[in-house]
Amino acid sequence: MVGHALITLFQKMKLLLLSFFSFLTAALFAHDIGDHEQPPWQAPSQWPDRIITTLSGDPATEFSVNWRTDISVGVAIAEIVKADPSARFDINAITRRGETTHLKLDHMPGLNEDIQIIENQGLPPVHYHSVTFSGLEPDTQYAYRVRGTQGKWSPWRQLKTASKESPAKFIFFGDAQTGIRSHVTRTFDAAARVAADADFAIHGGDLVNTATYDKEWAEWFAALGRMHLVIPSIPVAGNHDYVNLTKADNPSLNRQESKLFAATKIVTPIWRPQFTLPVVEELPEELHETVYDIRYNQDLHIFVIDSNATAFDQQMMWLESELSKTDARWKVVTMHHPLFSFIGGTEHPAHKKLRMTLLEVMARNDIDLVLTGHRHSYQRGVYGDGVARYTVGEKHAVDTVFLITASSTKRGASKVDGWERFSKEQDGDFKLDRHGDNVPIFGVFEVTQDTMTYTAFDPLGDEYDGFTLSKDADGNKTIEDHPIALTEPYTHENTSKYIPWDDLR
Amino acid sequence: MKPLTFFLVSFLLVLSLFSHPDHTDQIPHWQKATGWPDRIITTFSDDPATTISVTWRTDSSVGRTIAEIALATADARFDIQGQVYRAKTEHVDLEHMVTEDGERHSLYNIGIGPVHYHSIVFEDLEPDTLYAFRVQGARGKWSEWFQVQTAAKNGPVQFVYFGDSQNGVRPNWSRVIRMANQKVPTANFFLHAGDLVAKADSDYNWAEWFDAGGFIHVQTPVIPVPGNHENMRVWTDGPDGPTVRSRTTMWEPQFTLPVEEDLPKTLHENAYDIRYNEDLHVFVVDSARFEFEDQAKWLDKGLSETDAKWTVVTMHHPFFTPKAWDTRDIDDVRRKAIAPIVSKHEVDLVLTGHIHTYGRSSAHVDTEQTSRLAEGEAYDVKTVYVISASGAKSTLLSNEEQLAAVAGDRKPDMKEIALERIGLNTPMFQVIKIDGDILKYEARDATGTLYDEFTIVQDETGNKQLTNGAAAFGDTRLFSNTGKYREWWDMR
Repeated sequence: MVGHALITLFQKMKLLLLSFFSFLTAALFAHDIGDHEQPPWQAPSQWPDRIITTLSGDPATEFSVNWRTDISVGVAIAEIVKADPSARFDINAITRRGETTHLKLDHMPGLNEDIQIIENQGLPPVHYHSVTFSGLEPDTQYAYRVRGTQGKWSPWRQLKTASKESPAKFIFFGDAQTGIRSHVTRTFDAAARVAADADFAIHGGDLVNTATYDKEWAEWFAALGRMHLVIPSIPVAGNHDYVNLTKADNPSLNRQESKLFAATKIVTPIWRPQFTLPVVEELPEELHETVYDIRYNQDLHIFVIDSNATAFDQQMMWLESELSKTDARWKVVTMHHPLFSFIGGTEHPAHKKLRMTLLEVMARNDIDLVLTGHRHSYQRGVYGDGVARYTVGEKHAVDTVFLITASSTKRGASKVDGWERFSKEQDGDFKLDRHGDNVPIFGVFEVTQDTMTYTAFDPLGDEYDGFTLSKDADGNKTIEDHPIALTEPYTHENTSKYIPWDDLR
Repeated sequence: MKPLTFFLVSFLLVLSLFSHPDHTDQIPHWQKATGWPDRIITTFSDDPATTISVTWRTDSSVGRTIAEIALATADARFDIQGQVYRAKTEHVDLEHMVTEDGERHSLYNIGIGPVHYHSIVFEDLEPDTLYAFRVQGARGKWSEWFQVQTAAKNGPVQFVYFGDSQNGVRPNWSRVIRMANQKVPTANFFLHAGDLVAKADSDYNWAEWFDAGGFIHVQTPVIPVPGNHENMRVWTDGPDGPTVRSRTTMWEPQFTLPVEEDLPKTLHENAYDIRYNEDLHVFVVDSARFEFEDQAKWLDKGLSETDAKWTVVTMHHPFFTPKAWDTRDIDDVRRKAIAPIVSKHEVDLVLTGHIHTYGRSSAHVDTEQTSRLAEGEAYDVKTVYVISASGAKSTLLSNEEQLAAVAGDRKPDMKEIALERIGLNTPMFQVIKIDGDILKYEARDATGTLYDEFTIVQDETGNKQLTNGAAAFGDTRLFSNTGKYREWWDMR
């Protein structure tokens, strides 16, 4: 009997062991597979990654840092200290605590219900953390670091607060969007070399191609991490940073318009956890952290508009009221969709509506620069009373300079010869000064009290365009193109072959 | 499959997994090898005008891989013209390390499997041209495109020199290299004068060094110099036998460097020279090994034969060390072997580390010249000796005599040498710019502030005149007038 019982026990044990081992191997393999799916530059861990600094308040006394970890990190802890040259500058660091946001990547919060995110299937949830360092001294270099789990710190990074006075220097990047990690990195590298002393960078929307795709955000952060100068970012939301929840109701709209006027769309649920940006209370909640202004210093004021046609009239009312209040010498508006631009022969009615609305605001107010993206080509022109009568390179009075550019591998074709249409439409108040195709271009602006000097560069760090805007005591502006603006433009004909970006990984 | 067979298979499978404990959870993602390329670094192994050497790492699953290079044009899809080359692959066991001198079981690397280092030398390139390249791990797992400029045959050269990074490399040294890159984003190369890490065989330490530099190590070619901390203890005859110091087995796989056939095999890729262009020739001496006679002969020959206007010798150990340490025989042996060669050829710069402090001295032509001249006044000089450090470790020196000894103030056997500038408790990087007859030197601290500067003008006969810049006369940074110091043990 005893023997029989033992055998039965053994058989039971065997079954138990079998299932145990099968389960264990399966679990181990599953873990293995999950581990290999995400590249090391994407997967979250207990270490901080996707670290980014932004301007959330007065740039002279405050900056914010956001970072990401896996969900084992429940608290947001960062340290800051004045950047002393001594070996152990870090001894006197003080700790700051902030906020942690739990974000599911495969099911993101929509308006009323969660949206299933197919492209993030199988990705674990993550924690985004943010800390705002305030009460800092202007024009001072600080060192800061952020923490994952205990003992797992980022390296110390140094960042300088804004000086109250001019000059300021900033970089403007257009759409990163495609080929971000593989190709756009070299554009960021070039910027980091030619503008190593820049104070901040504006990213003009379409930071990625698919707003919710974690892997593309990983690419964007990998590329941005390449900028050795750790400078704050001013991100602008583009149409590719938006998620369309439902189509527009109007069946007469084409695909593009349908997207632009989608009945319901929201900025990607990754946006707010990963950027700490100013909140304009008077605007509807859906525009918080996509519409804001940054008074960088005495002379420079930046206004970020969300051109994704969400409550655009309200945005314009806010913009006008802010413009009337500011005493800054230079006012810059940045938004994703361009003021003047078209591909092929037509302009989308949706864009025209935005343009006409903004032009009305511009007519009543003094806006020096409008920085945009969206077109995947380079276009720079001027707006002002009868400017069309001047030839390129001639010094003349001007109201507003507008710029369209992109860093992405995706390239559109700017229609060079169609632009006089805008000029006719605007009674000769519009002129295209410089364009370029098939080459990623970024702009560097140096702003003093009386001048704004612009230089555009290609990914080799070679100059491509430039002008100087001067402003007299009465606010009258003149523009003078730099000689580089008169050189032969890049076109699809005189540059190398272009193939779309689908082959890139 | 019968239940019993299944049972056995499962059992063996699980057993095999347990016998190689999975430490992946403890290894930071910035250390762990994967199928993706990491620890990418650009070096010189041949003519800097026509070649670019790149080395990278993957896990051991990547057996054969490739790299791609294209002329860097401004075009969006410059990469269409890319050309693919097969990489050389080396299997590196991180736990059981075997050198020419003996073997070592690295306790730092327990549980870390073997890794593969891959390298490529892109050849037949055009001088003074920007190239874009990328490297692959497993199929389809590419690095981003990096852009590197080949050397111009002549014209100005600019480089950055760092002393020991060694301690607090990822947390603290990263701000130094980033500041250097921000101040000199177009440098032609970065030179690291030894003791890059604290523990020669620690994969974690090297991960820190590579993570701190990141893309900077790739876009600006690196000249690495081995130091005593690149040596590890190896057992020559079993675990109970005697031990000696030997170069880490990680050095050679992770840097692709020139091989000097005239030198013993142990010095290959450790002592070498780089003729950067018409005007500049850099000689790297391995001061942490003992073959000084061989190196002295090789250095003498190289310096005799070169027609470069400016010569730089870099080695980890300075000829002059603080008194307390000066009794070590090996320092004397080294100085007696190498220093006379440097003097004989009036090498322009000797760039060193090891002391964890900053010291700059001159070998004067006028041996009676004792005091520093005022700003703007020039004196004849043969060689400038620099000791520097970029890491968080700072040697506590306060005694005046020691300070002087650091920079070799009037050593009995080298009377012409006088101290010009010291700095304590301050990680530094040095920017050296050569343009024809003029050499400009700057030492900057981690916040980018200028601390020391001089200019040397060389005439056609090779006579050199040194003029100290204003920063050389600023307040001396000592422990008494700088931030609080603490040893580096608490740093992560």
